[in-house]
Amino acid sequence: MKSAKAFALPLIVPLLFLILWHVMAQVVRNDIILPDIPLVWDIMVSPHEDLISMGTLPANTLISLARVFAGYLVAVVLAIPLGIVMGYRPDVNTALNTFLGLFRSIPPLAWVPLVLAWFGMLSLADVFSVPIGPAYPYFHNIKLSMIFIIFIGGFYPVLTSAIHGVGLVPQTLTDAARVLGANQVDIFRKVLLPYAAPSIINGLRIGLGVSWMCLVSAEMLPGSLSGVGYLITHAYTVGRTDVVIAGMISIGLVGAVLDRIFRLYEDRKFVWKRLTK
Amino acid sequence: MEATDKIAQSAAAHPEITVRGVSKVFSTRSGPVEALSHVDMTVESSRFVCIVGPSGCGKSTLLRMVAGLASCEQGEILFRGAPQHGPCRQIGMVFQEYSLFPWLNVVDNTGIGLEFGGMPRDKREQEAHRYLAMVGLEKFALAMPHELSGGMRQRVAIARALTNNPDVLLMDEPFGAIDAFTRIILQKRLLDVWEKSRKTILFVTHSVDEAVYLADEIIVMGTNPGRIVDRFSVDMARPRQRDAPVYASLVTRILALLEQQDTAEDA
Repeated sequence: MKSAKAFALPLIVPLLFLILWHVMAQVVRNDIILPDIPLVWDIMVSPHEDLISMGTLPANTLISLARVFAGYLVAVVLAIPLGIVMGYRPDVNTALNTFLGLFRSIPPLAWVPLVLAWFGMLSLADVFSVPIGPAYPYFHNIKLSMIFIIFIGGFYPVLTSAIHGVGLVPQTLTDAARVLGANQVDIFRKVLLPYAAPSIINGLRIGLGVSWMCLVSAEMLPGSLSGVGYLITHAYTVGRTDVVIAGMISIGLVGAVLDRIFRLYEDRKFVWKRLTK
Repeated sequence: MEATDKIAQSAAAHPEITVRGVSKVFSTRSGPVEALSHVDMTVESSRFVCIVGPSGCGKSTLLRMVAGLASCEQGEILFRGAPQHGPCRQIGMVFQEYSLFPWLNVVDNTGIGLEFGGMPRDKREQEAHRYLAMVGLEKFALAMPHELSGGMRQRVAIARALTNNPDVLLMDEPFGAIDAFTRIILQKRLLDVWEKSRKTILFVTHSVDEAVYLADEIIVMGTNPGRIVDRFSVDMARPRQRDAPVYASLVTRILALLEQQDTAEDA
């Protein structure tokens, strides 16, 4: 009885939402303002269909994912070591915190004009001179400007979580490591990083979420001819609201799946954190 | 051969630890506080020395300085006649707070000092098991720290310090957070381990009974400023009987001494 309730409870609101959507669509009777559920559903369940001559929904989603990961990777590679050092060394923190704080509150989208002036339509394929081949479309579709926007989105959550996580490391642990013969690299890799790992993973999860959300803005930049974000904008200009909604749903689903993966990993890997008082 | 002789000679010529004219001042918001004032002491090799005193007498600060974790601006601290710069593997330490790495199991925690030293996994696990057996925890090698009681965690911390095979073991109120009954058992076990390993032990405590039960030599410290008030040699054979008249009278004497300090301060 209880498990049935636990199963049903999260479904009630989405179900009401779908009913409302259907009823509103029946009232509006205009597919451009609000297409009915079956129209969107048809797009979602036919992954091989070429949408508004822009390729399939999964193909566009894949391109978007590749872009997000490129920008996110840069953010992670820079933010984790920087965050750990800033968390461990108060002098480094003091030196950098104000500077980094100035940029923190600038929304990623505000960077667009500058970023375009700097990078134009330069893509990874141009930077690494990738030869024409099966990998070329992916590299060609990842523009430096997009990487930058996604990077800005992912950088701060990861940085903040690393600083925070390292700040929580009890001095007794670093003292114990030093007395046992640890050098600075050992302390970094074998004490600070593992202790801060749960907090860092949490930041990675939030950072990936923000990066994914920056995607649509990034894909609206000139030079973009694919990706879910672009698919949505393009579908809007040709009045295909059903494709817009299908694209939105894919963005939402992918984001939720990525988030879920991180949470599962956190639950399995960091049992000690929950059980340690 | 010649080299070992030289080492043996220098060990004989110098006490294991020499503390000479050490003072330490902390600056606080209400002005400078003299945590330690002109402390002199020596610890001979293989001896069990206890420092006993009230909180705030600087005994933990002194121990951290011997460990190389805190700097010593005035006076000097020598290990076998040589000044120390920072922590070194010959001096191990057990802390009052739980200091095990919560993401490592017991055997990995115990062997981590050897890991820092670059020893391969199978060898350091072998060593770790040896010292875990010494503290009676070989069956818990694969347990995680959070699965252990407070007393067991401190035993792992002791095994971890010993696995590095230091010459000196510093212990900063290691049983301070442990209930009275478990504490008595841990004291017995520690003496067992000490007799087996014959390390030099410098043990800080605020329990007079603990000091009298464990030590060859007791150094009594007082507060404001932190300083050495008196020293006692304890010649009683081990295991010591807490109800023996000599034992009780020594406890009483040290307690009276500490109390006297307290009243002198109030006046």
